[in-house]
Amino acid sequence: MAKDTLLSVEDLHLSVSHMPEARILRGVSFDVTRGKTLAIVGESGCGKSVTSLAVMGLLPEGLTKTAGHIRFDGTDLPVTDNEAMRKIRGDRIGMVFQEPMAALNPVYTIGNQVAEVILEHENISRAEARERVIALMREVGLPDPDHIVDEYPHRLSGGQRQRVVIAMALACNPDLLIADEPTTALDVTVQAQIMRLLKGAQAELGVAIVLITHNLGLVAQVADRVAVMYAGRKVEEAETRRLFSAPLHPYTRGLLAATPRPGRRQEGELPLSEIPGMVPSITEDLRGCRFAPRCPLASDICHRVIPEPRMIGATSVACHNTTETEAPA
Amino acid sequence: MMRLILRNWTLSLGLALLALILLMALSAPILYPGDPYAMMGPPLQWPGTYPGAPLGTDSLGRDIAAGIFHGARVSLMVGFVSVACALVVGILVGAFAGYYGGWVDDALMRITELFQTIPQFMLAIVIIAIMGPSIQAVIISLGVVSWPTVARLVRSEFLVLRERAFVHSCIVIGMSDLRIIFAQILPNALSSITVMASVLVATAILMESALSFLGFGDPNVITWGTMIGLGRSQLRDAWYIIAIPGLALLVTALALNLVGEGINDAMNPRLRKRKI
Repeated sequence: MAKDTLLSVEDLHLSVSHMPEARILRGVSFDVTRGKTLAIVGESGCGKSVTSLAVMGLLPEGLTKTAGHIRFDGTDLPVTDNEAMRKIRGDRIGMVFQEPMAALNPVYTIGNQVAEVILEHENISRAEARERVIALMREVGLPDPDHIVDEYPHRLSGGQRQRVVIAMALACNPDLLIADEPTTALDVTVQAQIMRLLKGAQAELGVAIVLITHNLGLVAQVADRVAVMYAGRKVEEAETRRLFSAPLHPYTRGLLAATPRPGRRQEGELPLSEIPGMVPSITEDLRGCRFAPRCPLASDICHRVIPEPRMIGATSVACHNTTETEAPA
Repeated sequence: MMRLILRNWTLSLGLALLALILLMALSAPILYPGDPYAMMGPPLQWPGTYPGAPLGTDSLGRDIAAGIFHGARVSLMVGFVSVACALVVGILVGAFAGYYGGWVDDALMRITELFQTIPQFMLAIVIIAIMGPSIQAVIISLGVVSWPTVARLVRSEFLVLRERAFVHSCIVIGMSDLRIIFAQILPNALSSITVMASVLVATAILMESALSFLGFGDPNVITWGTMIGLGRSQLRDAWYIIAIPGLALLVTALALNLVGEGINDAMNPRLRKRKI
């Protein structure tokens, strides 16, 4: 593990407790560098959200970690020890949720809820906490912070609520921020503002971000590295620019080809394509590559042997068919 | 708050009736000092015929009005205290069962069901029979029979609320389970608990009367149920002895139900009927 690695997930396996054949994650590994952004992309049900929940120790009832390590700042995260996790949650790892309305308690003012985070982890008075909250609200760009602290969540717009949720996540200056589809529920114009806010906070506070999304446009703009997941496995990981300019895994290529671009189609540009077929079920035990049934390049070996991730150039890719020659110099 | 109450006629009527009964209860020792069981005039005086007793006297010459005023004290006290006990136990059991789920839920719900399988009234009588008839025994027995309903309601509310993202967000900021249960989830469940509590108070008051009627109440205090029980032999020639405390019971139960319905309307705008 490199010195500046903040979070390291190694060979994480997750299964449904009473149904061991239902394997949700089948060996996922990635590292998050201090102060950098790692995006995890993939289609619905590939295990991106569950990975973030595993890091937070928030696995839904019925899911268990069957193998692997999650290391945070050099030590194993005590994911099963609730008391020990409480000290880390909120203080060192913050989380931003997809639905900003649901993430706020309707019966308390937003100031109250943000102050709660600070009071939980720091020994300061309510009045001091209130000052801190107002300052935070100003930082996350909420209008008229002196008054908005006393508002209830239903009086705020979706974008404002998400700013409150981000203020909660940043309240104790965490080292790591997990953002699970932070902009999916918002308007396109607000999405950009929220991402700018997150990037601004990163530049200022040096917080590392794990961004979970299926919005590739967002990823291209804000992420330093991208990990592509498919059916419980990581299929490719590279620096953002590299991944977009030279995708190696057939799934990544399919994903990029399925992303609409605004404007007229250029000469020679392929029409918007789709990836044929469906994601295999979590109980389906394919002997080889989990993408093989949908892969245009699949050969005999793909159906027999699980491809291990290997480095081609600076890209880690789990595919039998990708060769050195395809990698850019 | 005031505007909300006034706009809602069920709630205002219910609260007004309840306030009237409360006033009766509070003024009983001032208006009718002395023992309501004491004889104060000739027996079986119809209401409005004997100047000292506006609501008449019963077969032993006791003032019915005094009984109604003193009975209001007992009815309200028994109703509210027994439901308060039921709420404490029911909320604790329901909250832990609903929040933790799994074996905690299984264990607590099996105990709750054990209580629910026994007919409520029989259970109340058995508890009073064991403890001996006293006001405490009546309160405890009514509390014991009412808490399972509260527990089940609170559990179902918690089952829904604990999956809401704000609960996850509380876990994520490192809040302790107890604070999440009592400071975050419980306030969201309070509206339905309040509605149920008002109906439970009405039920408890009616059950208390039924117990007193059967002679399981405290023999030293007068209650509406006792008065009905004592008057039943005169049902054919002096029916007012039963009708007056019966009316008091009806009004009290109605007031509490109106309050419950009014709170429900006020807190659930979606259920409000649309005006054309």
